[in-house]
Amino acid sequence: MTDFLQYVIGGLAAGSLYALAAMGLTLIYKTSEVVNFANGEMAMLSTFAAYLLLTRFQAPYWVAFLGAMAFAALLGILLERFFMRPVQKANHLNQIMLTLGIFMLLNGTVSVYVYEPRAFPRPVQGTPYEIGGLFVSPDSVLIFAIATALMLGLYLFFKHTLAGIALRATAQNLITSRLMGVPAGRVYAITWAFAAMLGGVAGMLIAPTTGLDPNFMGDVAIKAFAGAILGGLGSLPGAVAGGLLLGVLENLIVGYISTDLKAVFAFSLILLVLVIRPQGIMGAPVRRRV
Amino acid sequence: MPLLEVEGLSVSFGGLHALQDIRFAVAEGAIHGLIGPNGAGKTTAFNCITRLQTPTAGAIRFGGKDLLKVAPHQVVRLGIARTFQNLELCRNQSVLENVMLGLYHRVRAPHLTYPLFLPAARRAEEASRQEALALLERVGCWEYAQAPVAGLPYGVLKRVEFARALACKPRLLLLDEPAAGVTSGERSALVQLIREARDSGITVLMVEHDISLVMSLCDQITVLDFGRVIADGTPDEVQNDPAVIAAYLGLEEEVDGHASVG
Amino acid sequence: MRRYLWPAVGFGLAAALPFVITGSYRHNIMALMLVYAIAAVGLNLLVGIAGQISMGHGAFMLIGGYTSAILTLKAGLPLWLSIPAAGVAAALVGFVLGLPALRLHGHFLALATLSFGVAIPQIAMKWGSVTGGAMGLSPKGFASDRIAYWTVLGVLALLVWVADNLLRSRPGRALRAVRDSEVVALSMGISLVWAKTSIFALSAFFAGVAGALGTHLAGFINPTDYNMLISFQLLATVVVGGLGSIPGSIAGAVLVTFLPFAFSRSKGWASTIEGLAIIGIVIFLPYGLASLVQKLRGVRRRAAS
Repeated sequence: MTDFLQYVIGGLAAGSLYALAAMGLTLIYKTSEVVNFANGEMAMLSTFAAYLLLTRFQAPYWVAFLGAMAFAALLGILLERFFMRPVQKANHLNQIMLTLGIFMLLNGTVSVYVYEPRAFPRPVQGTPYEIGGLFVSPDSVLIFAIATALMLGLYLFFKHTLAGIALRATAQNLITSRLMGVPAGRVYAITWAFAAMLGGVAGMLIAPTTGLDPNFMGDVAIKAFAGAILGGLGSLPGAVAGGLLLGVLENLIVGYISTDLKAVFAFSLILLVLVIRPQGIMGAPVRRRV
Repeated sequence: MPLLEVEGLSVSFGGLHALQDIRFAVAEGAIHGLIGPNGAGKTTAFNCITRLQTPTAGAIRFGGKDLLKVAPHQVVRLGIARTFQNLELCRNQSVLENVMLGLYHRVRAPHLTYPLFLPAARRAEEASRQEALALLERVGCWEYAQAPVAGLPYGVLKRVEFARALACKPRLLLLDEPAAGVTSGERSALVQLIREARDSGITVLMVEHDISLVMSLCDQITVLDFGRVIADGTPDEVQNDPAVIAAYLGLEEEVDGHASVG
Repeated sequence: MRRYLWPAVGFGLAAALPFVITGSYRHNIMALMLVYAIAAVGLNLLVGIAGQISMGHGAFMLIGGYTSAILTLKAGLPLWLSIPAAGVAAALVGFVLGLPALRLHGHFLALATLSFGVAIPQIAMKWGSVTGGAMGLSPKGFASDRIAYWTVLGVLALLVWVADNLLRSRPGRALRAVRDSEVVALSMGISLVWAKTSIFALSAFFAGVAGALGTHLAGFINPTDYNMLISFQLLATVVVGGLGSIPGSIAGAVLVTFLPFAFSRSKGWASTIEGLAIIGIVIFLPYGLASLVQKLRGVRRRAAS
């Protein structure tokens, strides 16, 4: 039983990271119906911004964090305004291609300067706590707390604030929202800024474990997709639930069956969910009009 | 025996009843009209017949055969072809290529002859081309054969779609608002085409909003309103049916000296 | 017959190229460009003509590469057998992938194929007994780089001819119908099940053959070959070259393969430029370079009249 709980705890820790990354994805999808395949790379770039602040300018962690957030927001706004806005009306393939283009641009640019992984510090150092025979590291607790807090915050934002409702309205019906006076441009800009910041947080929390290099977000990005789909593309609580569930299931498989299957697990999960129930756990039903 | 029989057809989703207990029959060789105000369920009925939609209840029989057991892509092989309200043509293809699509299920060579374009495939292609050109000539669009669909006048495209449907060699032709959005000149041309189709042995079922067209062309008319059949008969019978008048006009009104029901 | 004039000239010139551009290294790169051209043409059939999407197409190249490597190493098959077999193996997997694709469109299909593209290399890594794990396999190569180039050129010519045959006849019409309107496709008697699984299989066949050729060209294969970046690049090639345009895909593949060698100092620059190119094309020239060629032809015709 302790084993099981330990796996669950480990899984929740990893899952919180997936959840953070998934939230950014879901946010963008929720408001502009675009799957942003470059989300991971945006997070990567923001994490590098933090790294620069930490190393070049010897800034303390919290300064680097805020700096990365500012950078992420700016990055999101610029990318949306100059790259995504022009293709708003294009077909799915072209939109996907655009995000792929951004992926390659960001990945490539950083690859020019970075050849080896760099070390990135944890936000909270310290020995793991022990509770009833189970070990929980302090930054796992922090990550989980952050993920939950952000989810709650965003959920309340969307449900109860005027701005949040405006964002949702824009997603559901762009023309009507604009006629109602909702500034669509600002909505998209804010969405991308938020999503980039969420990604940045995820990146800064993941980098200590994986090391910081241009491709470090790759694996997490896939898991983020899996989590977002599992929870239901377009549902923020779903993204969190999906990410957490994915982390836990993944860890259980590693623990009880074998590490080898871990690789194929996310893939099989995505495929299974997409085929059986594309709307995931909490999403709205996907209906195709004839 | 009627060519098409619809019985007890109902379609509902999530509390919305698109069709409720629809019942009508299309006689072989007839031109049968399906009319009704917007939202009455006409296109839904069409979709059920062509199996693009599955009804919640009811039966559809085509030539005595249970149509609900048939998959959507097999419908055309049984002899049912259709045109669409929104003119579903391949915009980037030529008119000829579009009409040739109608021949897909009829004129073909064995699958493996196509990758290497063996003589059997060539022959089938040439036969399709010739037949498609002949159909285009029949509908008066022969000169547009090589032109891309995008950019051609709406009336021309309506006839092209008609040609494509004829290419399927149907026993039953479903026309979804054939006269919508066309000029009066085009309208007469289409009426002529529909009559010729019927004369060549094709049964026609059409959804149409143009009442005078329906009255002049159709042998039998079924009227839908809010998903139900409210009248079914000859043009004369339907024209004077108070329920039909009420459905179309809605309010209490004097019509031709007969007080109508509100 | 006139249809084949320019392609014949093109392939003729391409065949003569090794006499003009000499050096084993250069021939190897030229052959590699054509390898990706084969994969790109195959992907174009799926994406440009049939309107589907595959974000993990590199995985089919990997499957093809490993199949051919294993068949030549462990079963002693000659190349002219193992390479088609590699295509068939990839096609079988493609067929199976086409099944869930039936119910998925747009973003959902993209995600499904993306995860496929990520999973296959991981399976290759773990399935050490068959694939040699992280070490990979080292199958026999071609007799010389020049011969490799001519072989790949020949295969490209053959497959392009096959693709062209399909596209301008009944199968091509069916695929375009599936792309433009599934409702119409069904109404015309086209089985979506068969259409989608077949095109996934065919497209995978092309990629599998390409992967096999690439593997023997390089003389080795390991799980990091034909990864996500390659999958993205293939998709980029197709979009940049022009959806539905076979010459566009070939030209695109040559260009994209050329980039890393032009920037031999850093792969990063190549990615950056590719990324910018994709972004530029999608925003300014959504129908790819082929549409630019068409526009220029139109301009020339108008100027002449």
